[in-house]
Amino acid sequence: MCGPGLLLLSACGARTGFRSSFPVNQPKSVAQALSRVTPAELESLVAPRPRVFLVTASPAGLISFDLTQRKVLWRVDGPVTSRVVASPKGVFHLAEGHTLVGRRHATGEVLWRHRVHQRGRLIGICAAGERVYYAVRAAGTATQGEDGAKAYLVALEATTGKRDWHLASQGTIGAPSAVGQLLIVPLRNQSIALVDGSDGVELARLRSREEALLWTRVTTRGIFFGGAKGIYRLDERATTERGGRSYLAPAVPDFGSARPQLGLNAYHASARYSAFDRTRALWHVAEGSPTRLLDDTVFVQYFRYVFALGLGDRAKQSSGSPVSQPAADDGSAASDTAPMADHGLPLRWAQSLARRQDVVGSTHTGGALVLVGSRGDVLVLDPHTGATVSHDRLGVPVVGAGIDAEGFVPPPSSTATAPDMVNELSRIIRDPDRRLDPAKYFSADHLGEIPGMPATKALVALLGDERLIDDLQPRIAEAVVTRRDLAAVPLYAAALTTRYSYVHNTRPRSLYVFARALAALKTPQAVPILLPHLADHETELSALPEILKALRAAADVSAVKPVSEFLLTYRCDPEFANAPESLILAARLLIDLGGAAERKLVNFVANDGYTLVHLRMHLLSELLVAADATTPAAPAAEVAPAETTPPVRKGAK
Amino acid sequence: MTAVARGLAVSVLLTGLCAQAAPRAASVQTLRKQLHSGDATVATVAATSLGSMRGNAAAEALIEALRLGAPPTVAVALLEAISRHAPPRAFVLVRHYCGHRNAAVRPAALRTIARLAHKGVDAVLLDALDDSDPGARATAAALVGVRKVTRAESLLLELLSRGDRFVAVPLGQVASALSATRLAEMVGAIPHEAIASAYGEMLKRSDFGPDPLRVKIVEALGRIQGGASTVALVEYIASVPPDEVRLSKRMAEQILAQRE
Repeated sequence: MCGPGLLLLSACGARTGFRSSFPVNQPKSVAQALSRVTPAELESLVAPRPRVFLVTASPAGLISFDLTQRKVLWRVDGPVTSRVVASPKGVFHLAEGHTLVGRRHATGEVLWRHRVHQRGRLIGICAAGERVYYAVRAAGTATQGEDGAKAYLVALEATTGKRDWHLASQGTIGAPSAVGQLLIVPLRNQSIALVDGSDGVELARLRSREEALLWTRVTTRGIFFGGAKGIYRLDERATTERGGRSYLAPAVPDFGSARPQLGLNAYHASARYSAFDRTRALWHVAEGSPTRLLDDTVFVQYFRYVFALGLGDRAKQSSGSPVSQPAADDGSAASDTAPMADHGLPLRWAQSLARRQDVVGSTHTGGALVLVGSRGDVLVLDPHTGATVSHDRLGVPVVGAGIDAEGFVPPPSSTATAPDMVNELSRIIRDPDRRLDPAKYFSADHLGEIPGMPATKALVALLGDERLIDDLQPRIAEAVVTRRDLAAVPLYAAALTTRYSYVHNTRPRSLYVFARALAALKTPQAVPILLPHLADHETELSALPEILKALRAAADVSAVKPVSEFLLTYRCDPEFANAPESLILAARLLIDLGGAAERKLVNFVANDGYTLVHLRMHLLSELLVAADATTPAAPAAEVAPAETTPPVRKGAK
Repeated sequence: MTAVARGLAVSVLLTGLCAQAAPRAASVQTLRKQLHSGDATVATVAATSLGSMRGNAAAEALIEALRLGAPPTVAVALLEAISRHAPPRAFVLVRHYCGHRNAAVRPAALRTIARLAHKGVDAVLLDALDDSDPGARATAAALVGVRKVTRAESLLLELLSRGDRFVAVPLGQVASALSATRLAEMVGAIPHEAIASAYGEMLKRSDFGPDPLRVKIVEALGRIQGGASTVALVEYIASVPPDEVRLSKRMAEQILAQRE
């Protein structure tokens, strides 16, 4: 075994590669390197037998699950300490210690074991053609991520595990990906190296000045790489800069600190399954249009939820232009922190995993979304509708999953039904898991944008749900108010028929919100709904101004007498001394909608000695009435108390 | 006495009577002005005075002042004064004040409305049993008990189970066999004194029975230790006519004898 250090490396025969002096962004070199990848080789990425490899805990092991036949092919025990990758030649992963294992596809039988070079720390594994490749940090070197850390790229024969070649790097390298005989290796966070898989010779190198390049991905539609903000296609234009590249920047919502990434970080997240697998952005590229996402949709997987977001008309069609991100070509973070709703991307569907399990493995195959849950559920979703095409429950705890299903298109299912968006968003909003609060805010905002009665009913039901976290209620309240849905008035009326009852322990919920919603609608229907609450002594003081605003906006004279009664009764009540707003609004309503008698009443209130000082001052200063020092004639004859039906409580007969 | 002297005497008498009548009429006007003086203390005194006067003018002055609104302390005085007149035409206005936001006003309004001869009074009192304020609930409970509003029974039972001990006596005043059973189930869940008070009121009622039911209640009281149950048994025994023979009364006497 080779020991650490450059000289020893040389003595062991490892070439040193990825030198800093290698020329970058050479179009000819890149084109020549890409020419080694034929369309047939890209097509060969289609998995002949789409599989999911579930890494289990308790007991530790590996399960191979056939997606087409929907059955477990084999199960083996033993620790799996890395991601699982597969090619037609086998299944590969790190077992305990520093042992890389190659297994037979059909049975899981161990074909070979290989001690990782220098027992270093694995960075990542990939497999293509006749080989399996892995990158590893040399033991005893500087910690991960620091410049100058030494690493190795090693190629093994896939069927025997025999080492074919290995390359030493003086710079950091990330987990490679491969197609045919071409290796794509992230290098020093800013570059992508194209390497001949047969001998490890570097063929070309791309460098970005716009953003860090953190991941690579190979699909049947091409080779892609990128960073936190966007997706680059590896094509003839990849060497150009500043807008010349084939580039997409789908605006992925910023769910607080767990922003779903467009690709797995090749430097930090590709060695083993981790929390990075629980928040992902899933995508595939449209056929024939390398700068357009398939169906103009990006899927955001966030713990146990999946959201399908449409790029729609905002997607520009010309290649090389940033899509959805006007400023993406200069690397600005225009959308990094703004909430999803600000981008105006339509939510096409939402789906949540059953049984409160997180997604621990996922991919977009080009024909389906495949998700693996932490309780061993394997779901296949139709990306167009979110319908569950198949759902298999293996019933084992799963820590991660490798999915070898590129190109998988499941057979159509007659029983698959698309999830109901309103129900799904409501379910998400009600989820008690506090980790998922950002998704709840996201869902509440989008639920508010869905037109129609089902969404209104859902919002009203959520308003009354005491289990929701406090922060959500204002968003939902705002969504109800801004809907301005006249058809929803009966819904508000029904919600407000609940009255305060000490005996039955009930009270009307969200009166304040419904009053605001009714005020926004300016409808006379508000009057019979709100008058009983105006007269109810249990109505909170804070809700009274909103009730009066709604009554005033309704512009219905039937409110005049009850409001007169309200003003006369409470014009001298100390409860309103520091909160006279509702009394002032009552006076305004009487002036707006009433006649001479009401003006006389307001005049009396403004001048009477019992009236609260602040109210008197306001009425007089607002020139609503003129100061009148004379003893008021009893206006009671003109303003008889309204024959208002008092609030009837439950239990009263 | 000559005719002239008689006429003079009558004249003097009438003058004297008129002299007395004139100051009373002037007082209503004066008191009415004091109600609207803007001074709560003056208004309260004026209200009390108007409450003790007879006649429609005084009642009307009080109603008018209440209709125009007043600070809570004055409103309470007005309501109490109106209750002394008890004009049925004040029902709608007083009902409005039974729902006043101020918790001190509502009981005063309830007491006033209970004095009005109006078919809607019971419904207002029943509604008030659901009030968030215990003072209002207590006032309403006492009034439904006195008025024998049997419709209040289930509500009063519910309030008792929620801890409103003050409903025990009113419950006893309106209870049926239902309450007897439910109270037995509440033993241990609510204070014994409340159960004993309710049972005691039931037993004292001449319309409560039959005697086998009274026997069960006496037995239940016998199982409750403490002064409240003893008082209830003593009062029950005293309420039974001396010439009436009841098994329940004999049982009560036996229980008391054992307690001595």
